[in-house]
Order: sequence, then structure tokens, then C-alpha cells
Amino acid sequence: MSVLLLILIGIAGGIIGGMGMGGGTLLIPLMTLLAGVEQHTAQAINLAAFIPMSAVALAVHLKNKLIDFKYLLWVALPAVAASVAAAYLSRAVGGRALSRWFGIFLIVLGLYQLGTILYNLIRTIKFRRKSFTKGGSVWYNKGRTNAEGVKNLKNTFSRGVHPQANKAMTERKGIETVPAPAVVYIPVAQHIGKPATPVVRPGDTVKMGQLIAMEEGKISANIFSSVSGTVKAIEKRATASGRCDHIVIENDGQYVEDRLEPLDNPDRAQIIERVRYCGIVGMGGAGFPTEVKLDHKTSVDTFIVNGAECEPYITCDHRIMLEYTDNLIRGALLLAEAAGVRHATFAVEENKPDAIAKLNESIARNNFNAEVVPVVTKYPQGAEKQLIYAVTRRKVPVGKLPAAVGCVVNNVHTALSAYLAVKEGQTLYKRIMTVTGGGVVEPKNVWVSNGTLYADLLAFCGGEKGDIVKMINGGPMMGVAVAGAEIAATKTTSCLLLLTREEANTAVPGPCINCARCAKVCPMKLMPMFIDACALSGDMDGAVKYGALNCIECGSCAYVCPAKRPLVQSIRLAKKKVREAKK
Amino acid sequence: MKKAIEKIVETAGGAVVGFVNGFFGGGGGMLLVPLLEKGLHVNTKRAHATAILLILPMCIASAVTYIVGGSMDWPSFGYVTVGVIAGGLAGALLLKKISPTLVGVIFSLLMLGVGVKLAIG
Repeated sequence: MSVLLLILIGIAGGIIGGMGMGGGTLLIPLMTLLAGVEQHTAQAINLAAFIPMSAVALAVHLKNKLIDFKYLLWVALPAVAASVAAAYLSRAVGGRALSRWFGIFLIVLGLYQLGTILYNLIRTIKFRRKSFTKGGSVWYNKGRTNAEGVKNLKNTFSRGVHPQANKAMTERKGIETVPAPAVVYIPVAQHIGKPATPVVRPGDTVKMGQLIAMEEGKISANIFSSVSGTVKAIEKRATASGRCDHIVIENDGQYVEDRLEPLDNPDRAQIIERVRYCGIVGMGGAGFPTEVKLDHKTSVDTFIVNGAECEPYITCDHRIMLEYTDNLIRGALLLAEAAGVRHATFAVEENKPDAIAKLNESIARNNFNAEVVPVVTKYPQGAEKQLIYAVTRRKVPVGKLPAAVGCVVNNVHTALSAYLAVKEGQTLYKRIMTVTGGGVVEPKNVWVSNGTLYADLLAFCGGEKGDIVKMINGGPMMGVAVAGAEIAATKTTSCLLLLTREEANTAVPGPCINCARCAKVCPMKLMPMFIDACALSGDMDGAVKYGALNCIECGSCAYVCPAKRPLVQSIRLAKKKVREAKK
Repeated sequence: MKKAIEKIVETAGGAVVGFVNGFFGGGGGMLLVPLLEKGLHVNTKRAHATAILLILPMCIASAVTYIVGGSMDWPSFGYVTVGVIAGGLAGALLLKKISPTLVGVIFSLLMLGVGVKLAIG
């Protein structure tokens, strides 16, 4: 019995010792309390039993090169001397007394060990909580396979901002038509590239949809009359971005229209030619000639229709998707065909579930070769590079066009205009836009003839109200503030926005506080604060070094800037100066 | 100067550990590991391995002293050693399966309980 007990006690002590927790300290009291071994004898047994086991452990550690020999002399020498002396001393102490002292020693060790464990435990818990709130990607991915991770990826890009959408004012309002005014002022520069050259003279009679200014060079676009009547003058007037020639036409109220022959079964070249002739440009706001996008040299496999409409306030694309669903998809497929793809992918932000449902319903009913990809509601989701990444996970290289990664992106309205041009022979002389903001009495989505002055638009929408501080051509993030209502609506005017004092940011810019929030939200991963500093000190090389030319001017940086710095404006300035220097 | 302080820490620490290990016949390792880690800044794994090297001569020396003093009971030593070797192997294997925190808590509570019993009884 005693033999078995001693072996069991040995096993217990061995297990704890094998786990590296000082088994000897427990082995001794187990022997004295359970097996009735005398205290001194128990201590002797423990010491001796430790020798074979530690010899084995030592051999293993030596092999793993874990042992530091430099302490051998200075620690072990006094230790050996002290231990011999102490062992000799313990003999002088009685068994009962030694046992009592040993108990106190155990209490101290036990408290120390418990304290250490609790301290480490609290630290790990704190660390875990910290890493969880910091995004905790490690915890999020724990136990998940990569395939699951990819499946859970959201259709979006990294960074960006979440401005208040403010779309409720107009998103449920059907598209109305603004009657063409008595006089229209049609600018010859409604697109990116060279202004068109007027082909009419004062006194000429024109029809609605007739060519009045011809494209000049490769990157340019034709301009058409939006009314029938008489050309009164060609004069320089202000636009939202500078001054240019305007063709002034007096409306005769007849609306005699000049249409092209509809194309029944057009091939790729015919579609491109029709799109070019009809002056179709990117109608999301950029105004890049669509024909140039379609006529690419690289192979393209994805045609994306941009229905993200991430700018706050604007709802015209949303209404187009709801009201012209079938023809919109037909137009998109025509453009896809022209780009060499037989399939169209509609990317729509998740905040427009009705548009997603309507598109899906139309695709199913007409058996269109198209699909809808809902993308995350985040600004600037509709920016070309960000949208391509959200839909395909491809990154457009710096300085390259989307075609470089096999993608072509076109706006919803562009696709609708392509349909009208190809299937109805209608040239581009009017568009749908949103007139909204707290300063408009009756915010609306409207068909607007090119050359209609903002003043006429506002009159149709009930006029102005409240304390208006800003009139913006476009949305609040990327739009340009204009000086007055004597400016004409163009092919690319997606929105006229009147902001009241409560809505607009009228704060005076302060100095940069180096918070780097602009860098944290930049969807192009630039550092706007440095570009701003370089641009303002005239260091254009520095601005280029920090990526000024890659800026997509989305305005996220200026939106989050706590010092209210006009970051986009200074980056735009840098871009313009760099381009001028190149010329 | 820094070297000298380190030497003093080593020598004094070694003497304390040696005294405790000799007087109580064990427990030196539980003092030596924190001494190496906290006092001499050796990393945890190396500290555990090096502690064994340092304790081995102490154990041999004090064991000899105890044996010379006539405290040894050889048959009991034999049984216990068999158990310790078997248990040591089991412990090293178990280490991978059981949470060391849990074992540590149980072990230190056990030490406290036994310590109180010995100190009072």
C-alpha cells in the first residue's frame, strides 16, 4: 500500500514538474502528509529524485541550444555553497518546525504564482478587447477559410466617406419636362477636350436636333440645337468652368425636329459612328466623349453601367433606371456591343433597392444578357476606378484607362442617350437632371433642353426660397459653385443644387492641424495634406511626387477636414499648373 | 558599473536560491526562473532551460549533505523516483493538451491549501 502510494505521489509530482511548475514543492508535502514520511527524509528524496529527471531535461535543452552557460560560475557557485550550508542547517531544525517553515514557504510561493497568473490573464483579456475594437481582423478571420473570406468580401473599395445622402427630396418624383425657353444659349464646350466649331451663322434657321457646332479633333463632340428657330448671335458667355462661345437661338415654338434614320441591326462600327455623330459624352458629369472610350485597342471583357449615383442629392440616374428601364438596358447592350462585349453589368448602390429590383425584373422579362451587381453605399463608389474594383476586383494602373484591365464604364444616362441615338435617331440636345437643395421651392427631376438658363430651370421648380448661400453645378461633393443663374444647362449638368446656410459649408479655412484624416479617407490612397502644402507653396514637383495627378477630385478629403481646408481646390490648382507647364 | 550590479544580483540571487533549495529540499527552480527572467532579462524559454543547469549542482550538493546526515530512505526514494519519471513524461505530453493557466491556478491553490495545513498543523 505504501509502495503504491509513494509511486502515485511520485507520478503526481512528476506530472507537475514535467509541465515546468516546480513539482518538488508539492512532492514533499504529499509525502509527509499522505505517506507519513519524515520532513527531512522527504526533502532528501525530492532532491535526489530531481537529479535523473533534470539530467534528461538538460540533455534535451542542450540539443536545442537553449542553455546559457555564462551564469554557471556566478550563480551556481554561491548557490551550491549556500545549499550545502542550508542543508546542514536544516538538520539542526526539528522535523515539526521545518515542516511549519515549509508550509509558510509554500503559502508565499502559492500566492506569488497565483498573482503572476492573474496578472497575465488580465493583460491578455485587455489586449483581446483592444484588438477587437481596432477592427480585429485577426479575430474576424479566425477559423474561417480563405474561400469563405473571399465570399464575404463586399462589393466596394477601401476608404471613402459616408456623407448624408439627402436624396429623399427628389427620389420619388417622376421625371417632368421643362418647356424650352424663348431663347436658348448653347455653349460649344460641353465636354472634355477641344470646343466644337460653330457651323451656323446669325440669321440661319435651325431645326431641333440639327448640328450647329462640329467636333474639333479626336477628343471633342458635336453640338446640336435644342429648339427650332433662328440663330440670333454667337457670343462669349460664362459657363460653370470659364467662358466660351455660346450659340444663341430664338425659339420659334414649332419644335420641328431633325432626326436621323434609326438603325435596326447595327454592327460595332455603325454604333460607334452613331454615338460619335450624336455628340454623346459621359453624362455622369465628366463629359469624356463616349466614342473614344468604345474605340479601344486592348481586349475588353467587362462592360459596366455606372448606376451607383453616390453623390448626395442627385437622383436623375435613379429615376432613369426606374422610368426608362427597358430602353436603358437596350442602350447599355448597344454600347457593350460597340465595346466588343455581349454582356452588360449594372452596378447600383444598395440604397436604391427599387432600381435593382426593376432592372432585374426587366432583364428576366426580356431575357437580356445583363446582370445587376449591388455595390455598397459609400462615397465615391461611382468613381470609375473604385467602381471597377468593386465589381471586378481589378485595379486600374496609374495613368491608364479602364480598358487596360479589360473594362469599359459608362453612366446610366449615357446608355439611355445611346439608345435614343441608335434606335430613335435622336441627337443629344437634352438631358435629365435634378434640381434640388433646401433653396428650391419644388425640387424635381426634369428633362432639360441644352442651353436653358438656370434661372428658367428654377422658375419651373417654383423659384428660390430661404437663405441661399451656394448655387452648385453638380452635386455637393464634386460640383462647382457658380456665380449666378445666367448660366446654361449642358449635356453634363446632372444637377443644379441650391444650398441654404444650414446645408452648406461656409466656414473659413484654418491652418492644417496635421490630423491626416484626409489621407485616411482618400480612395486613391494619396496624402492630400502634402499635395495641398506643396501646391500652395508653388512646389509643383512636390505635388506631383505626392500624386496630385492621380487625384480623382472626389472631395472626400475636404469633406472630412476639421480645419475646413479647400483641399480639392488646391489639388486642382496643382494639376492645372502642371498641365500648363507641360504645354 | 552595470556589469558589477549584474554580478551582485547573480551572486546574491544564487545564494538565496541555494539556501532555499538546500533548506527546504526543493523550490529553488521556482525562484530561479523569475530571477533569470526579471533580474537578468533572459527570455522565458532560455530561463527555464538554464535554471535546470544551475539547479542540478545545487541538488547534487545538498542531496549528498542530506545523505551524509542520514536522512535518506533508499526504498522510498526508489518508488518515488519511478513515479516521478513516469509522471514527468506524462506531464510533458499533457502540457500540449491542457491549458497551462488552468493547471497553474489549480496547482497554486493546492500549494496554498497544503501550506496553510502545514503551517497550522
